[in-house]
Amino acid sequence: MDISRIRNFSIIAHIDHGKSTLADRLLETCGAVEKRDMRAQYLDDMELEREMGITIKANRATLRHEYKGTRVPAGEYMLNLIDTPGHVDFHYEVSRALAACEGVLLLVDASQGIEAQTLANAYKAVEAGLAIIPVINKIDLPAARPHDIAEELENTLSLPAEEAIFVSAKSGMGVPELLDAIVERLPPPKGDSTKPLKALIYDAKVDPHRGVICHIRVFDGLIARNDKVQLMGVGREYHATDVGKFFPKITSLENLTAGDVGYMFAGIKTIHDVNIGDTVTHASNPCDAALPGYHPPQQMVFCDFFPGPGTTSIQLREALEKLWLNDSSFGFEPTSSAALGTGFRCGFLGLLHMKIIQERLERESAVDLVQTAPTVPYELLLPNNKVIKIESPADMPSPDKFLEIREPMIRAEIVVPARSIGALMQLADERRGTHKKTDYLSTDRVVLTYEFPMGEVIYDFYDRLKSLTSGYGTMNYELTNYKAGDLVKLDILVNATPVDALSVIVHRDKAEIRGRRLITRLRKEISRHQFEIPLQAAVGSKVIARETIKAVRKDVTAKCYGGDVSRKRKLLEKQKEGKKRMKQVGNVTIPQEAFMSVLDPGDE
Amino acid sequence: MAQAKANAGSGGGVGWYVHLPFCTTKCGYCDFYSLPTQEDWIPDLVKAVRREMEVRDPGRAIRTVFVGGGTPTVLPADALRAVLEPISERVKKAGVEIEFTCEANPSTADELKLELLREMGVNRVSFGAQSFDLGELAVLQRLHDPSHIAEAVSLARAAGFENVNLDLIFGVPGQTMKSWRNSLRRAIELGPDHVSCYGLMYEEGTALTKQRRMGLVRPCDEDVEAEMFEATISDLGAAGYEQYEISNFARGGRRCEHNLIYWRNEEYLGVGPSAVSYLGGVRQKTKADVKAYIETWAGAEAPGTLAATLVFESEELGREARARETAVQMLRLNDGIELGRFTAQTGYEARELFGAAIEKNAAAGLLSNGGGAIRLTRAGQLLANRVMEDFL
Repeated sequence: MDISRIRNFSIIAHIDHGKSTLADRLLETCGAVEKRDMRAQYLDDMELEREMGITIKANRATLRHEYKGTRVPAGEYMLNLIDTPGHVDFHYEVSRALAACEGVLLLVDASQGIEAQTLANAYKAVEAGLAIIPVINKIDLPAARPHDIAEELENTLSLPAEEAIFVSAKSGMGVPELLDAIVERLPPPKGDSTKPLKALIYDAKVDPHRGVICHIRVFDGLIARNDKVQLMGVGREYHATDVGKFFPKITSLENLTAGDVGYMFAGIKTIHDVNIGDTVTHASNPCDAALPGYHPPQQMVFCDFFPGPGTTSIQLREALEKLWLNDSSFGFEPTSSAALGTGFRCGFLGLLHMKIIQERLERESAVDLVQTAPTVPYELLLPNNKVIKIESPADMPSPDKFLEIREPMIRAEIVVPARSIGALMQLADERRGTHKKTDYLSTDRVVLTYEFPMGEVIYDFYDRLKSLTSGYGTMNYELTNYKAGDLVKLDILVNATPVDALSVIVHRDKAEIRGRRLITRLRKEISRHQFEIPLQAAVGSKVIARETIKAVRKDVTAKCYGGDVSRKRKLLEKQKEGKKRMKQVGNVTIPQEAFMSVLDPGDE
Repeated sequence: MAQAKANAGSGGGVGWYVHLPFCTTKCGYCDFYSLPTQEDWIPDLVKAVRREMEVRDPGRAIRTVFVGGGTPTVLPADALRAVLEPISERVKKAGVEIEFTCEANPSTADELKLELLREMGVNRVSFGAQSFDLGELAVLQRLHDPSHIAEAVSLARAAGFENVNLDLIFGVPGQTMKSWRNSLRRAIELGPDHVSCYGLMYEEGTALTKQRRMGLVRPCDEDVEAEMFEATISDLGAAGYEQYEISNFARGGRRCEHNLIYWRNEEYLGVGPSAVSYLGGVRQKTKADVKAYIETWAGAEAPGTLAATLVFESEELGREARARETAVQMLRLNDGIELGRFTAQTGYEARELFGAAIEKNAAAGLLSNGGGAIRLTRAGQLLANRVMEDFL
């Protein structure tokens, strides 16, 4: 197809603003999917994604649209819809998907208006130089105020209000007009099919029978079946065994040419052999330079998984391996803890990614997990001027072994109702946030821009934000840099024995309050023993908080079970079995829940 | 001879337990099978119990009888007589004086019923006194007030009972050390022959457990409960009541022979819905379902043996597991695991089977190991469950 008849675009939206529904309707309107075959939300194909209401992996479809207008030549156009992941953890994947497009549909809910994610994605699209079509969705809902929202878009993002297209993705209202607008307003791709091959891998997935399927966008040149190709970033060569497009079913083609979006199979065995953002070129006739913006997956949240009751570390490893094969941004390696035994240190893009992996492990492999508190990576400047990264508090050396410790910083855009500004500022203050600016979206909604140490927001910040704003607050963040901080390792000692799995890295000023909270929670989780158990929180050799679990006085069933001797015996057996499943640290038995309770932020 | 007894199963006598599930109302803490009296069902229930006794009588000497529930004395006199008669006849026929207990509530034991019990050969009466504090009785949802207890005891004495037990409960929400010791004192003043002191348990499905979950009652502090338990042993001891089991105290050698059968893991027949039997190494519990019970036993074609449909649980432990269970039961007794008795009954040497458990708990001061028996110390009694776990 003539390159001028191609349009490559993504839909960007805040969660729940109707991205998947709109994608479905576009497919249906173009006849790519028969209405009767339409599974609700065709593009979200993982069960978990459906349940969490988010799109985890970018997905795709090539649509044929018969344009009957006059602004551009009439006739058939090929519209490549490139779906983007819909969550804050997947910035890099989003940026690569956008790099494959010439334009985006900025989808906004007609009653909710602009949210933090809308903004973040819109900024990305602007930075990437993409054409933007504002689309206001759910206009048929009673609370819809499409014109107000169009104004908001104009005020905030300088997108002319009259350019907004009003649709109802649910009913299909406005969708034909939207298809025409895509053809009219988005520029065709630029590219030269005669140049050496230059294609972007913007997504990759595992096909159970054929290995890795790379989703690619061809910028220059042509890729054909049997071509010998090179992945420039990882520096490996493969044979392209099949190329084609998604209609949305996989359809083999002779070749893909400049401007095309499609797929490539190249006998790549595991997803970890491919990095999103990598450039595909011909091995024998490579292009001059790889596409910009590539970097390997960056794991920013780490935690350890240990096998829980009823799971062995071998079973856990198998479960992790199975997931690993499908998720290029997740990593794990064996680790061991004096308290919890053999387990695995796992790295994730962000907190949601961690939660998804944890749930998938439990659901798909039925393993029991004991999880340690999530942490961010820290950089240590050593006396020899080398910088090392640590991904677990347990790896932090004593303070005399390094000159400086640096923590990752993020820039966060937080959209809240104006009445919540005070509460949010207080929360941000508690989390060592630095206020950067405040912008009004309208008289009653604001965007606050903050800089935070990432470690301060990784677990409960989002929940707190939600509760402060009665659910209206939204947040998006992006990693900026590493900054030196006064950070210390907080150790927890149970009966004078440090429990490595409970250590955390915190700011010195917050060590005491954090330590106090931790041991208070532990006191509730550890049952009384036949001796007194001191609990201490310490920084170095200095104890900053302590509590004591009193010795047990009474554990006797002074009851008449009559002849029901079996029942009494079974109760004892159950109690004994319960203890077996606890972890022994020194001579103290700690229930699995105690390790998990560290994750529960509790009351501030 | 020891070996013969160990393998017996059909040798010596058995205890008889009869469960009559009706009560006036259900107490807040009770998780035994009981339900409000259904007048219409009584004749059929009586018929069913009589039939079950006839069919399931193992034909061996009756060592003890215990009639419990529920509240046996809520049955009308003629029904109660009809239930007790078959046992009474058997006991008389054997011509041996045995312990024959019937439970009663202080408020439902009138002179007529007590006399009827005596006439049927009942020689021990056990009253659910629970507390002498009106507030605590209300928390426990008992129907009597403290004055009923004294009245019941004097009626029992008047009827000729020489063996009277009072049940008491400690660890009641709102109970203090002072009120508990007061209950103990008032119980002692009534001069019972036997006192059982149970620690309140929050059993699944009881009203009290629900109230606790809803935050309506606050459980007694664990340390206070421990002190109550210690006060129980010392106060009753000072009054001449010897502790012979964790919760049981007797004067003048009047230990409860029937319960001793349970604590020694010996054999018993249980009759009535939800009753447990332990015969020939098989422990069987029947369903807690009066209707099904009546339909089966009082039906047109009453079975000639325990109907499988009535069995709720059946368990036959292996030899070693049975020995372990026996040890755990015996540890409840102040006599402990009497080495000779244990070997005779189970075929195992206790010191061999439990070497590590004995060593560990003796070192912790929870067990004594001398004088031909393994016993819990006072500290060990307070932590009995932990010690027992090691014997399982």
